[in-house]
Amino acid sequence: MIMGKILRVNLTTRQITQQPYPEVLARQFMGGAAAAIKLLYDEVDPRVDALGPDNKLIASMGFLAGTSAPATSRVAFVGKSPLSGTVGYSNSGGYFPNELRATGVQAIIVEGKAEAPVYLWIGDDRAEIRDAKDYWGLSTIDTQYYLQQALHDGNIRIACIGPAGEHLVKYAAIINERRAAGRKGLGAVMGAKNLKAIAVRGSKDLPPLAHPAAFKAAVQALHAAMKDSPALYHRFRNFGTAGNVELTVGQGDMPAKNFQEPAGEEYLAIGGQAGTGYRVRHFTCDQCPVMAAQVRTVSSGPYAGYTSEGPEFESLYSLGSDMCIADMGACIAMDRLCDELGLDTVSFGATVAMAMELYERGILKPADVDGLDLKFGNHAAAVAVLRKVAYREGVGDLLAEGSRLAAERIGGDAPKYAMHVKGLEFPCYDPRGLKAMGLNYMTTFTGADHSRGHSEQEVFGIPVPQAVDRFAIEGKAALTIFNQDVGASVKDSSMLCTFVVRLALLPKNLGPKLIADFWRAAQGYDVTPEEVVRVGERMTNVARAWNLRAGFTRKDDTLPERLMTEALQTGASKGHVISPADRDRMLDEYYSLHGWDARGVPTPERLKGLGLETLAANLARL
Amino acid sequence: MPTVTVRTMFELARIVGRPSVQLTVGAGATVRTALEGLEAAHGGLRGSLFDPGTGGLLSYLFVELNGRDIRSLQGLETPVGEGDALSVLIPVAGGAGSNDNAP
Repeated sequence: MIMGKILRVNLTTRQITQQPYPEVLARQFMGGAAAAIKLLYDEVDPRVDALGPDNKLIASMGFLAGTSAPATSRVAFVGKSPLSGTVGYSNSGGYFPNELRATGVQAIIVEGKAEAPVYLWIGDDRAEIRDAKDYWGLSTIDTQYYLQQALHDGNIRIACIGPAGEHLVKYAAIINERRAAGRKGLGAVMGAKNLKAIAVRGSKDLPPLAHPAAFKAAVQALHAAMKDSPALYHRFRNFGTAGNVELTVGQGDMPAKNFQEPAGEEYLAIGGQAGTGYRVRHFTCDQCPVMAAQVRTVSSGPYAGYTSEGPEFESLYSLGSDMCIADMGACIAMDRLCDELGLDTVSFGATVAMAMELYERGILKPADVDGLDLKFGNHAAAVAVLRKVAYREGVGDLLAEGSRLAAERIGGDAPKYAMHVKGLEFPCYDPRGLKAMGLNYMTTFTGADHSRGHSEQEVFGIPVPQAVDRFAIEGKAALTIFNQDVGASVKDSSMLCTFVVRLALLPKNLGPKLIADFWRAAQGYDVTPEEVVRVGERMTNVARAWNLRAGFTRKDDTLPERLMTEALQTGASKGHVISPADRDRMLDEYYSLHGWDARGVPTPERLKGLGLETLAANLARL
Repeated sequence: MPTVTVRTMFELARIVGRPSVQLTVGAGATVRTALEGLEAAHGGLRGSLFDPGTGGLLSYLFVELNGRDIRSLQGLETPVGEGDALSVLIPVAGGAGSNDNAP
């Protein structure tokens, strides 16, 4: 097999051991996030404190990392999320993943807690835990720079946390280069372990491929699909994900003002077209020819001098329209600050948007927000709050808990205005205008998460498996399962970039076949596209089982009251909600199609069909 | 005569020269006749909207009327009238397209 070893790092005992990659894990989950979630299931009790030593942080590359397949330098970080309490899964690209793979490592499992700040150093066939006191307190940018200087090698790649992770902000990110494993607060898990950074430098070749000629053919097929996509090389390279602003403003499903209204045409000022005026260059991940990253800089105004590798579409919503900020300079500045301080842009912006609504409703008073005029649209106040959140100062200490916990602490009606599912704040796309997206947000095992189960059919009109009406309820359960499980089977085992999967492979329904071709050529044993899809199904069921054991139930598969009772008053999605009856109908069908019971618990028969019989005993106790 | 707003994005906006145009349409106009009018007014769009073989839309185009995919309405024969907004873009569907930047 071409899978690398698993490195196990115990920060409490300071012992590092390694083990070969288990063949059963490889055959059932193929690597990447899928395998990492199975490791979490096997090794972490769902009831542990997410910020305690018994949580684990797993970093896992896909089986294509380090190969000639493009757009596969990606790493999945998995652990119990301190924000939601669910399975936490976030991923990042850039150069760090391929560099880590080049040390011979396929996955790292970090356990325990160091007595004082440390970093993990990994080279070819060696790993050490080293003192990090000189780096504790530094931004993610400075941490990477000074660690490279100290190790005398500018090619060392580093994944690290900033002050937000050190201060255990519940949505702290892990940053490598300028890329972010942004969501779910796994940066806080690192901070709680006193783990400042993982620094890697590798030069090992991968083990030989089983069938090199067949692998090359699969690589060529992938390149051909990428080239054949009308969106990938042109739209994405020129506009990045910011182009989705124009699309969703037109559809009336880009949220604004904490989901009180749809974003109007004034937000085209933070759209893809407007973004080209700020771009100074493109950037890319290792071995990716698309170059979709847009490096933008502000050259005038109060935010002059800020440069960011972004903002991406999600950040333009959370730092922009959700807070009623239509100022690209402010969005670029906050995007950069989130990277430096190590914060998830989405949960930060969505939590502050909630705070803005509470302030305007008089639930939060000026004294509660350190005297800031925390009204919608006040970007100076948002920037001030950002720094407070990262260091948990003043109102920042409250908002660092995320919208759900912050609202609970504020009390009264505040929880009504917290826009989250299972504690994870909403990403962009208002589900009132995209019903399958709504079901996805309700059921995805990480909470309101667009990076799984994204309904391309509703947003982009991709007619695979079929064309859909975004306002219809019928058929959305089957569609959501397709998007979640087939998508996961392609992305989350190989860790192929989501944009390549969605924009090049999905329109041709090519994903499972191509992954099967890659796996067969790399590993030397046969697998069918149907078996590839089963990987995604296993991932969904394992994660569901873990969450159920953590205490989540059907009642958590729901949406905020606003989205179920308040119809949008303007825009192309005007008049729509996902009512409680719609929710129940979609959930019933979703559970049934999954082979789960009415509570949403996988049945023993279903688990047996996936080769997951061992999970049944745990679930029988629920 | 009714006026319809047509929003083109990105690649198509580059051809038209601006992100939206106001089109005057005749009585009984449909999405098809509106797009034909757009093509007639902007010669650079010729070949970018309709498949010459089938007469239908190019397979990778995504057209929405007032934010709804026209395929969930009556397709190209969906009636349009005063105040309607058409959006035309190349989203992500497969098919040949301009890939000047592809390696």
